[in-house]
Amino acid sequence: MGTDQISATAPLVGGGNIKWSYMDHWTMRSPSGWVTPQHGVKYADRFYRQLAGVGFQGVDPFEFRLLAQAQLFGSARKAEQFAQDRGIERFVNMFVAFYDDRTHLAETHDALLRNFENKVRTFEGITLDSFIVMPVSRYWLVEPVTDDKIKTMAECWSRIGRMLKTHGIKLSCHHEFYCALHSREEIDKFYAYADPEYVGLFIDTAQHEIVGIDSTELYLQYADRVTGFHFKDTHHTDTVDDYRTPPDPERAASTTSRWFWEMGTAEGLVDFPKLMRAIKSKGYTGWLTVEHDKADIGGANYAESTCRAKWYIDNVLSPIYS
Amino acid sequence: MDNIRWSYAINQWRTVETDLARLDQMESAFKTISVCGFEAIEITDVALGGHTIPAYFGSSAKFIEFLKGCGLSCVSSYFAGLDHGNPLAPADHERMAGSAGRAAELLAELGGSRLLARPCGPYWKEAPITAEKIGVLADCWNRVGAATKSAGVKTALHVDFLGGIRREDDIHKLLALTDPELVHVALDTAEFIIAGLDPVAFLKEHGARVAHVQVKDTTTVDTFDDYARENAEMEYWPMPIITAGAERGIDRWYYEMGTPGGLVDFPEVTAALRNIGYTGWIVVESDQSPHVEESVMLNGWYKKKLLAELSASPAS
Repeated sequence: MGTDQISATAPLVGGGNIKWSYMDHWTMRSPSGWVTPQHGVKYADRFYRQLAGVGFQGVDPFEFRLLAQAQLFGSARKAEQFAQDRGIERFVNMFVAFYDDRTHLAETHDALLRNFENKVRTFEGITLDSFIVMPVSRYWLVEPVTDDKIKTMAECWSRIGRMLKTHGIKLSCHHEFYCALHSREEIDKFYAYADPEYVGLFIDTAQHEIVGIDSTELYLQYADRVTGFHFKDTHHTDTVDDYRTPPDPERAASTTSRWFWEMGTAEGLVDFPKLMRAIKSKGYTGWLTVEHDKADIGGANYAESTCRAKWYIDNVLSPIYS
Repeated sequence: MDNIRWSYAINQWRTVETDLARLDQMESAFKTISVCGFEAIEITDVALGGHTIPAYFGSSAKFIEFLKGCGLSCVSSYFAGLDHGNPLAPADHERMAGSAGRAAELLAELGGSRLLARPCGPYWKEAPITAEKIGVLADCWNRVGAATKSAGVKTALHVDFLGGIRREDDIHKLLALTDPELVHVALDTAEFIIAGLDPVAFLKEHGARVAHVQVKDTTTVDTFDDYARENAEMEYWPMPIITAGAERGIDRWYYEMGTPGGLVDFPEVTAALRNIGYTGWIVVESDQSPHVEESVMLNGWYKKKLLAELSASPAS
């Protein structure tokens, strides 16, 4: 089935098994209020210096952030060069943002394929390992989630994944706790229907933990299909069906105003050492990604969260596997 | 640069009273400093100095244990106020020396070796700086230096642009009147530049007296004599208030190393330190940073770059 072609197990050049990338949700203070690294060259400069300085080697951009940077610097390649000049090795994975995510509706699929073909052309100046997608809309917009709907979603992504593969890009699905493919049962059905050659799994430790899924067990079951990870933590599981909250359970759910935390907090629920041992046991080599999603809620900040997470990597995870 | 160790000043984590007040805040600050490539912290009276460590941890040993758990090794240095004594007031000297001795003993327990102090209060308060006044200052610091030496700690006077000792000739006079075995200099790159002093030239001329280095950048030289204006600096807690420059819109004198437009030539400074065989601490500061975690990350990046460039260039 060629499943090795969608797994991130290519040997690394230059020694070491693992490199760490950083998913860009960054915000920072400026004289004109809160800004992101895309608000100006000087902010991008600070962002990449900070990440490289603390030891991250790659950056995973959002599509809309990469587009803004391409505009700022003239092209995606020039934006990447700007990061490289500050010590970042390269952009690794792109989290795709602009598409019709009603993949449970077959009538959306043709347009979706064309949309993704356009994205490939837009970013052809740089090498991206994978396009990460939330494979379907929010739960409340799709329910009831039936087998037929899941089969339709799988058909969609198998088709898009096949196209992406011809361009050397992996398609990898990221299961938010509130998306219509969130439970273990739904995920298992989806990957049973999806073509393993074209549809990969991107494990997000916090998103799965909120649902009650053990990321390590999920990884061990799907190791051949896993293309990457978002390492982030949570302090809560969803015990009151928050995943069905309209309009956006990440921002408006009843359990907490802040679902996502950096690694290394005392209240964290994810067992990262256990996952790292599993990653080692499977001989995974390549990129792992730290993600801090909405880390600035409640007066916190990305810089502090990032330092804490990297400290945790250097002092807890890397001794297990690096 | 093998004989140089890098530390980070903790003072900017303590700009309001609710900062650095709980162990989880300390843990976060220490881990941030550690992961950015620094191995120690510099404390002040209000930022972990005085009775703070015994009160929170019971003993210096337990604090060091906590520090090591966060990836740091020790306290490099202590910037002390010496019980608010005025070095221009001879009646305060004995109390200041006693305070310095106690601070040095604490610092030695914490693994540190440099006690920093301002050689004189604010210029706007103490001017004019006369030869007689410099003589009084010298008496004070010789006494303080002797008090800390017995604990194995060197006293290093921190020259800053707002202080009474800020002009080259005054610094020379004070050094000439103090015992080189007892009184040393803490060279602060930004303070020198703002005051119109050349840190590289100073290292070449007085390198033997430099026992401590603090680094931060600046984008402005005080060419308008802001330092001399009334209330240029005001006592406050936990940090003094700087009003110097406010009238012309300067909200921030100090910046991270490598800031675009920064005036400090760090490659030249570090090369000069190498050339004089400097052995000791370089402490990076984030004074006036609106976001201290970002500042330590930026400084960590610049430090790596600086050391890489330095290792690639031959010593002169």
